[in-house]
Amino acid sequence: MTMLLDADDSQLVLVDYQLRLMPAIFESQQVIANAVRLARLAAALQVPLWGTEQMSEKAGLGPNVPEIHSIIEGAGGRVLQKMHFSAVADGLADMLRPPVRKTPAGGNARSLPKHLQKPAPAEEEGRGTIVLAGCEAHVCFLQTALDLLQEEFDVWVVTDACSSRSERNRDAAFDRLAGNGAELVTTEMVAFEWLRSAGHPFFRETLALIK
Amino acid sequence: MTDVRRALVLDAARAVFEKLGIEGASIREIARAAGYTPGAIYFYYDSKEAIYGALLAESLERLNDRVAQVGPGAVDAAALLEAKASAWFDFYADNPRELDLGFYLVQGMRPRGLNATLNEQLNGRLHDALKPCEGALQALGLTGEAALRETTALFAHGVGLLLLKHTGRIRMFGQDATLLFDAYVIGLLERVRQRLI
Repeated sequence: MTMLLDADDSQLVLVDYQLRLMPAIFESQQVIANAVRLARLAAALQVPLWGTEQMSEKAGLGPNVPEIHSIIEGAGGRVLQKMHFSAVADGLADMLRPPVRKTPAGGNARSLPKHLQKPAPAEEEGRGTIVLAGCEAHVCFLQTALDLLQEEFDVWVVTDACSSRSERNRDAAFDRLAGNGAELVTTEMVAFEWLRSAGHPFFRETLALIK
Repeated sequence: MTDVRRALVLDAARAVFEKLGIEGASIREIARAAGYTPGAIYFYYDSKEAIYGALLAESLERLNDRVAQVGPGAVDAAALLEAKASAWFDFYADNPRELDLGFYLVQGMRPRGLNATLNEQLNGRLHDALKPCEGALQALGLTGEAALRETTALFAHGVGLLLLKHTGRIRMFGQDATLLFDAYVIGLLERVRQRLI
């Protein structure tokens, strides 16, 4: 079992980057920019991409910000609309389990050369690695992450794409998640571990995206 | 390498937009046309609107190049006006697709994701292509305000003729768009000379 992220076993879930929530979030511009980077990378590397939106009858938080929404939609991902703070309580785990398809074996002209390819994991295993980012880090995001851990997914928290209204709450969420077995990473860690090698056909593009 | 691939994406996108329109086009379709896996386009652009903006920006650069190329030999401001006006008119007469591309904006149909700054830049570049006409009219004695008004009317006339030409409707009248445009420019110069403007 490798300690590194594996693009072929990953799915990306972006939690509640909602229009009326984001302006109140600590370092929201940076957080959104990193979420967009993650979404673009996932879409480009064929990592399944999902979103969630918190619904409530009273104080609507609005849809996800358009730059994130359009990538999820364009990449064929779904946005789960939830009433509970934890997306798992509204069916996220079922969405993440197979029948999510693997990258088809054989690849195409732009795939890695054969010697760099990893053997594809068996189809029925599904993608058990969930790369997770979202807001607020200590509420919806935390509860979703803890529930996913409970459901025995490997949860990788992209810290520089997560935030809360206050820094203190955000950091407390990270501490708690680390203590419960989530792996804390950054957007760049995800990017370079998904690629693995400077020989990846999209290495330069990834650099450009991250800069 | 990245630039070559980016150009490849834009070429594919141009073909897809021509076939399906901006509403019907999708990143998936553009990827297919470019020979990429669906999604690889996201390395280069974050939305189809961003691709559209890039295509339009390129088109407007070509337009400005064409307008910039003509005129150095013009004997006077009147000849300069004729040369500059013909340059943008001919550019769009020769390249109907470039006009289609530009008019998603002019129609006021703002594609989602074409943010205000980009929109402003693109409109600015279109205006840049018309400014030499405005300048020539001022050199002929028009005030700035009148020159802008006449340039706008000239553009409106030209675009109307281009529309008739590209849709084939001009045949209904048995007329030639380029001749009519030239006649309009001559008429405009005549009105300027007689101080009717």
